[in-house]
Amino acid sequence: MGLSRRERREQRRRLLKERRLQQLRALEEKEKLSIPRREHKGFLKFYDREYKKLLFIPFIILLIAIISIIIHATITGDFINRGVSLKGGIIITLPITKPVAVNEIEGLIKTRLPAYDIDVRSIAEFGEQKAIIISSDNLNAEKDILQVVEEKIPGAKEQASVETTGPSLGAGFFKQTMIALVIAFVFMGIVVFLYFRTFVPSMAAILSVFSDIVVTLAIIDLLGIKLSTAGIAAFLMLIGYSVDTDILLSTRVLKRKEGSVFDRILSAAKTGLTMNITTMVAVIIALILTQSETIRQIMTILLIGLLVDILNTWVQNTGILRYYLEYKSRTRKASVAETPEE
Amino acid sequence: MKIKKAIRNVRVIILLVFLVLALIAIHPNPWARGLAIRSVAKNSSASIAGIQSPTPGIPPMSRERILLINNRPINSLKDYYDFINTLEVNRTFTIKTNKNIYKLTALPEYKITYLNETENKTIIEEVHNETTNETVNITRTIEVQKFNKELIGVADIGLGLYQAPTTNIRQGLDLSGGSRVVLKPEGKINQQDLDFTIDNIKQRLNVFGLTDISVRPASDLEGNNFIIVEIAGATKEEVRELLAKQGKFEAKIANNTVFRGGKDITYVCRSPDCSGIDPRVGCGQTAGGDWTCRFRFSIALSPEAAQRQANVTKDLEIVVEEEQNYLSESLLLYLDDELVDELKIGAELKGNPVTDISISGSGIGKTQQAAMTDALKNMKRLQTILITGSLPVKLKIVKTDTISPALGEKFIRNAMLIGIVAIFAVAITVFIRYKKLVISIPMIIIMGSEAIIILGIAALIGWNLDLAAIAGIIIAIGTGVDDQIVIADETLTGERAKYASWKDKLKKAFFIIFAAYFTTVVAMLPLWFAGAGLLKGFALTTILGVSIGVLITRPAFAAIIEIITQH
Repeated sequence: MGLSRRERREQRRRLLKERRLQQLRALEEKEKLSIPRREHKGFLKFYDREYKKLLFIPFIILLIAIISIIIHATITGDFINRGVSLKGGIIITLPITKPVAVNEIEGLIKTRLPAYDIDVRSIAEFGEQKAIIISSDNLNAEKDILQVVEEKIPGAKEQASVETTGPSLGAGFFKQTMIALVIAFVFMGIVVFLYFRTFVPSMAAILSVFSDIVVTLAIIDLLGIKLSTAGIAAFLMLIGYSVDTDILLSTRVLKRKEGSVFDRILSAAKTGLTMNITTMVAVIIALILTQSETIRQIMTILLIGLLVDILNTWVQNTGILRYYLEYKSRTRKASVAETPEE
Repeated sequence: MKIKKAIRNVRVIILLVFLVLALIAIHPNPWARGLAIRSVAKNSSASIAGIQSPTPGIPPMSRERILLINNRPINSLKDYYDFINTLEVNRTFTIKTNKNIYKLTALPEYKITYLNETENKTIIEEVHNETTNETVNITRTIEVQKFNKELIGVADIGLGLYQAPTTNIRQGLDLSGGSRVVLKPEGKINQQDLDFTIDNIKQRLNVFGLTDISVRPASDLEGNNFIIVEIAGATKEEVRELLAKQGKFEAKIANNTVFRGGKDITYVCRSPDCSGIDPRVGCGQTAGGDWTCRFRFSIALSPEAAQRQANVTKDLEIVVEEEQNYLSESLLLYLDDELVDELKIGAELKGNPVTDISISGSGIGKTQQAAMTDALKNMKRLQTILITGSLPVKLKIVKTDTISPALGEKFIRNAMLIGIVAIFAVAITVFIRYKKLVISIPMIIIMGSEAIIILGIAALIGWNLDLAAIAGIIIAIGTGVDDQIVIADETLTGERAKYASWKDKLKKAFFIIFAAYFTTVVAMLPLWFAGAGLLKGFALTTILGVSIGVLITRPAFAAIIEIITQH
């Protein structure tokens, strides 16, 4: 009993104060968690309130994309522009030391060898021309083209890289990579289903990935890009990248309890957009710097795909999820309201 | 203090161990000097001096490197050729490699012109007996063409060289330069035939003089078989022709097959005294103005084949043509069912089981020189096919890629530039978002580590890194950054960060990370099997990269963030 009465009283008061503080904190926490809806301004307000109207945008775009692919398929007979590696032909890559005019080379070959359907492009690093690429559907064009180009670029024959793909193998590649793409998509869907085990959210995520692929494909068609095997590989990468943000969104919205649904969507969007932006930064840098046609095509497809993914994840998938949650809570409320009457 | 604590963390230790192992596997040495030996030609100065061809599959850094020639440093191919151009016949010189010192003698190169005379010569030849499987020396006297030897310079030293590698990372064809030929067997082929075909192709290329080659089977989703042949360095067109030939060689008399390439032939002469442009016929101009040259080389038949020939010829009649006695039927030579040549048979061979036969053929060209080159090229191909025999199936070339080494070198520098710039740009973006160096800096470290570990594993398993594989590494690192952002956001920001325990937060982060991981892996799996295995590199590096990320680098990143931000 070494303590005086005053000391004991002070100790009691301190304990009480601490307990009260704890209670207060718990109350604050409870309040914070049950805040019905924080008010937002401007764009966020619109994004929050009008998600149903916003939902029209991705669906209209998806519809336009599907129509444009169908039109493309009826005109060209193929739903993508197949590059040399998917339909057979040759690609000649010539490293160059001093700049040459692409149209000049193209014109020269076309006047000298009118029988061949050729295409000439230029590859640059930091805007400095590094190589030119000549492609043709004709398997036997290699020697003739090099002969002509040799006049403009001496030493072209020795420096040239030539890729020749037979038409049957090209068609085989196309079929195979398409099968791979479909299988990859189905596998991805199965993983998403196993992960969330609820129908609507899983379907929403899968639909978002599907829209990404279809819209990106439509844009690639419109830009007239000829797809190579690497391009199809890029679509596979796109499946992996675009499903990431959908998984992030569904996890945050469905499996977390803190904050309102919209708060959780915003926090997921913040993370997801950072993910997309860092990837896009890397992709843009690769696009500016690359000298390889393979890498350039992969990066172009990824860039378009990631941009499309922003819309599909944060408007389409988000909208469907909110619709679903609203519907669920309405039916729950309704059933809760009905039970006492019975 | 915190760094000390971080280093003691188990997850960080695992990462460090993997990093060290990866560095050992990559074995980087930016100061590696000299020229690595790619191949050594048979019977060349280099092979006589004892320089060995590298064993196939040897790690790049373990290859023998030429450092000095006559005590002068050799750092580039230019240095080497500058020296070679000063060489004179019979001069000796020393080559110092990182393993040994060799004394070489420059051999003379002759131009051989045949005369219209013959002489008798006694030769000793090695005859390989297939039934007893032993090689015996036989001394014989043969009639040979007289020829003139004219010294024209120094023969090739016989070394295939390339700039010394600075790491153990093998570069795929599109980075190192070379040729790739994809062959497809016509019709179904069983495993045994496929293996035999692959061995045969390897042997053909070796006989042809190419040693740094890779021949491997591949298949696709539909079960089609392919054979992929990759040849390092520059390659000529005739290699492609050689690969596409089934090499079914048949010699027929009056529609009876007398002998076939391979087993029936015990010896194929390739030395100048019994092979080359046929001196008796030489070259001539056709009516159209083109030149044709005829080649010939001698071969030895097995006794059985010789007997078969005797059986067929003994019933033939003798006819007289241009005051010479010939048999009524000619010897027809077919290659892959196409007639290559028709030879008149001397009357003295009637019913005679001779084992020595001269095979001939021709080449055409716009000039005499071109025709001669073409004839010799055809001869070399035919010799190779006769030695190695026929393939069990017909092969079709479905794809050929030739990549010039100059372009490959540009790609590597370019890929490294992109990698470094991209890593820093991503780190800056992350810094703009979090305004904290404690997130940006560990992220750069983790991105770098991921790249090193992927490259280390690639070096260890001898995986060839091509452009598609580089794309795979880019994706893996990109996914890594995405996951790190998820970890940072789950643990550091928002209201949750204040209440939930660290373990709980990590659990939530890894729930998302694993979902992303599984979807990426299953999306890449089908590509592994599709398209003749040409996209396997892409699928492998992506799957490898994301697996390394999930198992090694992401836990380490979480640990680092925990230690740095907790007080």
